[in-house]
Amino acid sequence: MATQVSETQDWPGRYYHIDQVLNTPGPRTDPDFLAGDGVKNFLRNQAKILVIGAGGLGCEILANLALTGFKDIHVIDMDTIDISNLNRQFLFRPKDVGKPKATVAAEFIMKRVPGVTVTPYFGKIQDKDEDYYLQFNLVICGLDSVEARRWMNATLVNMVDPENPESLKPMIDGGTEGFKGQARVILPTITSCYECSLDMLNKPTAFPICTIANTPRLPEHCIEWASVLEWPRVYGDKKMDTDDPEHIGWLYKVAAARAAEFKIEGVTWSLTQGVVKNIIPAIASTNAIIAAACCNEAFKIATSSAAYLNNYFMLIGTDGVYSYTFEHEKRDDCPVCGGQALEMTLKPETTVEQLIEILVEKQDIQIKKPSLSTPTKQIYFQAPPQLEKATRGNLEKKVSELVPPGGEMIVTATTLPFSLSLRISYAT
Amino acid sequence: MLDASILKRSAWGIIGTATAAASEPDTDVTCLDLLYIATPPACPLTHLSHDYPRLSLPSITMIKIWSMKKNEDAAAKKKPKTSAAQIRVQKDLTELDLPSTMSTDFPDPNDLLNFTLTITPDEGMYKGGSFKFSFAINTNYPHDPPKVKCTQTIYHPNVDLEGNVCLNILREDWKPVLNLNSVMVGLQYLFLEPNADDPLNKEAALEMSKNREQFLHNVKVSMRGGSIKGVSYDNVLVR
Repeated sequence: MATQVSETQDWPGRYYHIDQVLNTPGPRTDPDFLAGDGVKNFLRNQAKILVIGAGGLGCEILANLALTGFKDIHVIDMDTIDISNLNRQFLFRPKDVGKPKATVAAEFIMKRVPGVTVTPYFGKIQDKDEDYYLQFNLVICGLDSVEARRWMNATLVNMVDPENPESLKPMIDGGTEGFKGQARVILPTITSCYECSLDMLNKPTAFPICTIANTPRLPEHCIEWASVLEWPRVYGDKKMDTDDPEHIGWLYKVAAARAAEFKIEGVTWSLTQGVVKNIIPAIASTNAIIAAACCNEAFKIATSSAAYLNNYFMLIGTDGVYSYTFEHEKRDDCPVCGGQALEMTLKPETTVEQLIEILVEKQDIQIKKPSLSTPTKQIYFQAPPQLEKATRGNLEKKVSELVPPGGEMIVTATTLPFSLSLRISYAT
Repeated sequence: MLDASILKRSAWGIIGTATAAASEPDTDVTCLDLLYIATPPACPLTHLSHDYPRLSLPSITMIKIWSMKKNEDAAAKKKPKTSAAQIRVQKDLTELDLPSTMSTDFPDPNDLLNFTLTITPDEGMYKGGSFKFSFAINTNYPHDPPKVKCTQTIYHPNVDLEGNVCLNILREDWKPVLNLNSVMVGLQYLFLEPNADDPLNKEAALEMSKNREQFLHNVKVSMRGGSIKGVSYDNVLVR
């Protein structure tokens, strides 16, 4: 039996310190917390946790989780190890350069911490479907891009099925930028989600294109000139691959020539790579703080041994040490978790035009000039004129010809905060 | 100073039973090997009994999280899988309120992310011309701004010969609260008020600030498809 095997590896006292927390409730633990063997068994033999990213944060997260007693850990990362990772991504060694991060990290942890199974996946989060994400109890993200976070967040929010409690997966998101960092707990559809806070993000540094073109003063201006203006001029539509050393080499050469012309110093190969890949200097110790905060939350949620973070923790180490925890509020007009959802039962012969009339007449949603689409096609667009014309023919079609039973439609209108989703069923 | 070799030795001792760890061929000892001391030392207490009841339920916290969900409005049903970017583009496009001087064209009406905008100014020095811009929106919209390029070679201080456009909200001042309408209005403004202070076509900007008459003449010539200083421009006159 699998559990037997892992228990034999739990030599006496292995979890002595952690068990101090799990054996007895403290003054601030949840009154329903069941101290003792049950919770330990859940943590060590049942909890299945997914770590997204095996980079700076991911390495820390994997080590922390393994050492706090999670034993069934999965990790996804699409990157391979670069020599520049070795200063902080401590699960990797020079011999590992070029190998997949997920695989090497998993092997290292399993070798290092007996009894832990780490299952790696070398690839994109987008390769996996809902069935895959449904198998986990918790998801921890140590990602480096806004895009990946938005995708993961939207996937977990969309996965929540009111009929199935298991479909709600708490997402713990860590992020760092130099001395700054954040950790947050997102309970999809319950608390504010990642998309709700999108407008809080610092925008990436971008320089006015005319400065780049005419009056460069910084080495970054020269690099942007090479990548934004010269690359498309010379290569046309050919896509720049920021992971291709030949492409970076070309940009570096062009940027260096530009810098020489304007007597600007400081264009280097690594700065070129840093600017085009938008790399923010990563600091190992900031990663360690944030990863620890994330893993403590994972441990608390999995064991109920203490109250978990509600819901946003920020660390600002750029001006002394300042930290702040607050409850980020859910946004009604959030495109992912906000907005209304309506169940609509239509007669099979209801046309699109009639559906629009029904929507407009609905007192509780106050909608004017709605535009409709399904996840795959446009049904009726009020504007622009060309699309209105292209979709006008659908007005007299039956909704049942365009949307399958149980199918979804997105409604947008100026009068809605963001959008409204309809789930369509048909009366028989 | 910490002596890493001592740390390692003590770590081997602690993990004694872990043969896999002991055989690790680890050659580069760095401060990061401090990970080794993280395994708790053997404790004197006897190990807890093995025959405890097996719970199959997730933790109390997870159950409570779910009950929070149940208390919510039952209407909050499963959402469709339309991406946030897709909905946002639908919202932006269907709420476009363009003056008669601007129109959009979708080469593939099913692809909302790629289209062209035509601007036909009805006043100012570019009156009589028809200017085309390509819009390319990526899946990270509205975090990322749309990519906009002029598809013709035109004589304009803020548009270079490759079609790059110097408009602040397309780069440094882009914010997710802006939308396609703001970008389009911004582009149209460039034709009413070209800005010689932020030049992309330096020749044109210089002419505009030094000799406005000559600049206006050049604009007329360029719009007819003429050449200025060896550069031939596209005929953009409305036919």
